[in-house]
Order: sequence, then C-alpha cells, then structure tokens
Amino acid sequence: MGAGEPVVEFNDVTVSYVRGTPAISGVSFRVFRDELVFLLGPNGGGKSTVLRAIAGLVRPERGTVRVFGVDVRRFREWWRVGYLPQAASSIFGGLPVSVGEFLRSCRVAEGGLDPVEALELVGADGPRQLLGERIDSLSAGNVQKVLLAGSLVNRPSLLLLDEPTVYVDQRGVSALIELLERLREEWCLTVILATHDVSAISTLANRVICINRGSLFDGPISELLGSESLCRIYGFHLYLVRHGH
Amino acid sequence: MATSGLLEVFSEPFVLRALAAAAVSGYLLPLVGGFIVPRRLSLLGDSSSHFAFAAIAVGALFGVSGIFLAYVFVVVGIFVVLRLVRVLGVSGDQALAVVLASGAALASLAISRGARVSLGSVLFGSLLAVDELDLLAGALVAVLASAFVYRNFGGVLLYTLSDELARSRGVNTGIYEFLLAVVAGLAVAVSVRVAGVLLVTAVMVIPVMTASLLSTSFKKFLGLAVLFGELGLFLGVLLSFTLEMAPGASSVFVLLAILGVSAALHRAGLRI
Repeated sequence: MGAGEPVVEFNDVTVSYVRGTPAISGVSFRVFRDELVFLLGPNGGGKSTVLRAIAGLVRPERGTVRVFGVDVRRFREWWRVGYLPQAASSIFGGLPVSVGEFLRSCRVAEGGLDPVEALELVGADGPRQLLGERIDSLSAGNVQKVLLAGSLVNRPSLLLLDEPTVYVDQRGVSALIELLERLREEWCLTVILATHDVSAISTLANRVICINRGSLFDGPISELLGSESLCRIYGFHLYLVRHGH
Repeated sequence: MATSGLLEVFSEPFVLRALAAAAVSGYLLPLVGGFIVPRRLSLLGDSSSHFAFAAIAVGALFGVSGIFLAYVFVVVGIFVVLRLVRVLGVSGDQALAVVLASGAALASLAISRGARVSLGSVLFGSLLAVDELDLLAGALVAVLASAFVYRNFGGVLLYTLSDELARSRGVNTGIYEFLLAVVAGLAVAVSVRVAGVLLVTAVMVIPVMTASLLSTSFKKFLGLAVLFGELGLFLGVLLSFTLEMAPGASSVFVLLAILGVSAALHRAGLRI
C-alpha cells in the first residue's frame, strides 16, 4: 500500500440487520494514515455499525469496505486492527478472568506489548499488582483501561474505539485523547473514535464525520461548530462553548 | 456395609465401569460447563439430554442401539442451540426451550408408539447402563478437548467472553462453535448414563458455579471446576452403592455440599 492510500475506505456502504431497514445507508468516506477521526452522531445513528463493518463483524448489503487496501471480506491481518466494542465491560460479569490472562489472550502479534507495558501505556495504577486481579472486581473506569490496553497490546496500526468515554471522568477523557495523539506520532496510529458526546471532542478533533444513518458531515470540527449540521444530527440546536485549554 | 463387602463390590466389572464413567463425566461436564455457563446457556445439558432421551426412545422403537443415535442427536441439538443464538439472535433460554421441547416431544412420540424404555434409569442414571464404548469415546473426547483448550487458550477465552471480541481478534468462532457442540454433545451423551437426563445439568453447572466463587483466573476456574466435578461424581457413585440410590441424585447431593462449603469460604474472603 502506498503512503497516500487510505487505511479505511467506505464506498457507498449500506448495512441492514433487518431486511429493508438499513442501520446505515450510502455512507462513503476515507480515513488516512495517522488521522484521528471522530465519528459523531446520536444513539442509534449507525456509529457502531460503521466500526463493526470496518472490524469485519457485519457484512455490507451494498457497497465496499476496504481496510489497508484490502476488501474487508478478504482481510486477515486482524492483529493490525485494535477494536474496543461499546459497553464491553459487561462481558466480564461473574466470570473469573484475570487482567493478565485477558491481555495475554488479546496479544496475537509477534512484537506485541507485554501486558505490563500495555497497562502502563493506558495509565493504569499499579500495573504489576493489577495483572493478578479479577477483571469483574475492578471499578468501571479500570475495566475500561484494561479493555483499552487489550485493544493496544498488538501495537495496531488502526484503532477503532466505540464510545470509550462512557465510564470515564473528564480528566480521563483528556488523558485518553492525549494518549491517542501521542500514539499517532509514535506508532503512526490511525484512530476512529465513535461518540455521541460532542463535549468530549469539541476542543480536540482534527476531523469529524457525522452519521445519522447516512453521512451528514465530513470535515474539521471548526466548520461543524455553529453549522446547521449539528441541529440536523441531534434534532435541536446545540451551542458549544470552547475553552482555550 | 462391611469392608470385605465393599471390596467385593469394587471387584465387580460394572462397578469399575461406573467409577470410570464417573471420572470421565466428572471431567468432561464441568470442562464443557466452563464455556457454556458464561454464555448464559446453563440449561444446555438439560435440553440436549432430552435429545439423548429421544434418541434412546427412538432407538428402542426401531430395535437399534441408542448409543450412536444419542451422540448424533445430542451434537445436532447443541449445534442448533448455538446457531439459533448466533444467527437469529434469539436469547439462549428461548433456543434451549425449543430444543428441550423437541427432544421431549420426540421421546413421548416414540414411547406412545411402543418404545420400551426404563424411565427410572434414563431420567436419574443407572450404573448398569454404562458400557466400554461410552467410556472409550468419553476418554478420547476428554483428551482431545483438553489438548485443544491448552493449545488455543487465548482464543478459547476470548470466545467465551464475547463472540464479537473474539472475531475482531481474528478468532474463527465458527470452528470453536462447532467443536464446542461436538464436545458438549459427547459429554452429555456419555454422562446421561450415569447422571440421568434430569441431572446432567447439575453436574455441568454446580462445579462451575462453585469454582467461580473461589477463582481469581480463568485457568484456576477450569481446574477447580473439573476437580469439584470429579470429587462430586466419584463420591456420588460410592454413595449410591452404600445408600442404594440413583448415582445422579447422590452426585448432586455431594456437589451441593461442596457448593455450600465453597460459599462459606467465599464469604470468608478465600480466593485461589
């Protein structure tokens, strides 16, 4: 793949879970190497479906999805893609899985991170002690950090995050965005982050794709602020106040 | 029972077969339960053993051995449950109810058409019903399943946690699903002989539940579940001789006692 080719390419993609009721329809966009793209839209707008289509978990009814230049149906190098599903913390309920064995299970790539390194990367407190802990005994914020570490443990080139800020306080959101910015530079990581929370991205995004079943907006956050697109996405006017920090 | 009498009992081939079957079932059912229970399919043993019941009844009706038929029926039944959950997105309890009802209806049909089945031994287990073919098949499946789990521990763990998470890491969940159906089916078909249709679920679920109270990792959880399963069935079979009761029932009482002790240890803060 040449340097200028897209990491992810959506070409007129329609996905339906129920025939005749598309979750997304006619969505097209391209994401390039080391971009940080925010996928913005209301609940049920199709953000998760876009990420699931990139992760190969749902098949498009129409159109094509290409990942690293390969049709997603033929893509096999999944260690290059880190994926953090929405509300993933619920999967651990009642099942005794330690942090260490979860991270070792996620690591499938040669040269992936050591579990301790992955936990240090996401800013987990006391990573060595954390390895032996049952995941379902941790706080929601710490579970989210473990899941994020699991999606980074293979040193992926593409990271898909679905609502990663739900259980995270504002300081944690800032730390997450700082981490993603750092990994863009150090790993040339491409990030697509889905969120319904406009405030999580209002001072940070270099590019926003707005989805509400179809593509509504694709451009820098500065153009989205004050535009009619936000009203079209959420159904009412939103006013964002930007701080200088 | 006097010691000499007990030794005499243990020299009987059918008793040795029953103890061997207890060892195989006590290993296989909790091992399979370790992957079934977290997927909220705890009653899979119940549903699939009703399919085994149907196979035994249909086999009796046509005068053919129910053993092979039971294996096939149960594997198919479990595969249908897993596919219904994954492909149609129906909840686990709905899929289990469909399979349970189908098995029970088929068994009822065969019995009403004249199939002669010893209901007591089918429902609650019988030490006399165990034969060498069951034991060989069970032991072979136990060895192969253990080797698969050992070699693919990471993929197996992710598959157990979340189908979607596993697929996003490149795990071929279709193969895992098929193997789980085959192993679970054979485990149930073998164990129905000892534990009976109604009590297979108990041996699949109670050791798993007990182990989850005390474990800090998935590996320890599987190890403890198998240990409790072995202990429960082995002591249960011994009790069934001394108290002259069905082995399924005595095994369940032992497993419940282990659960009670483990719950107390859990409350006291013990974790392994």
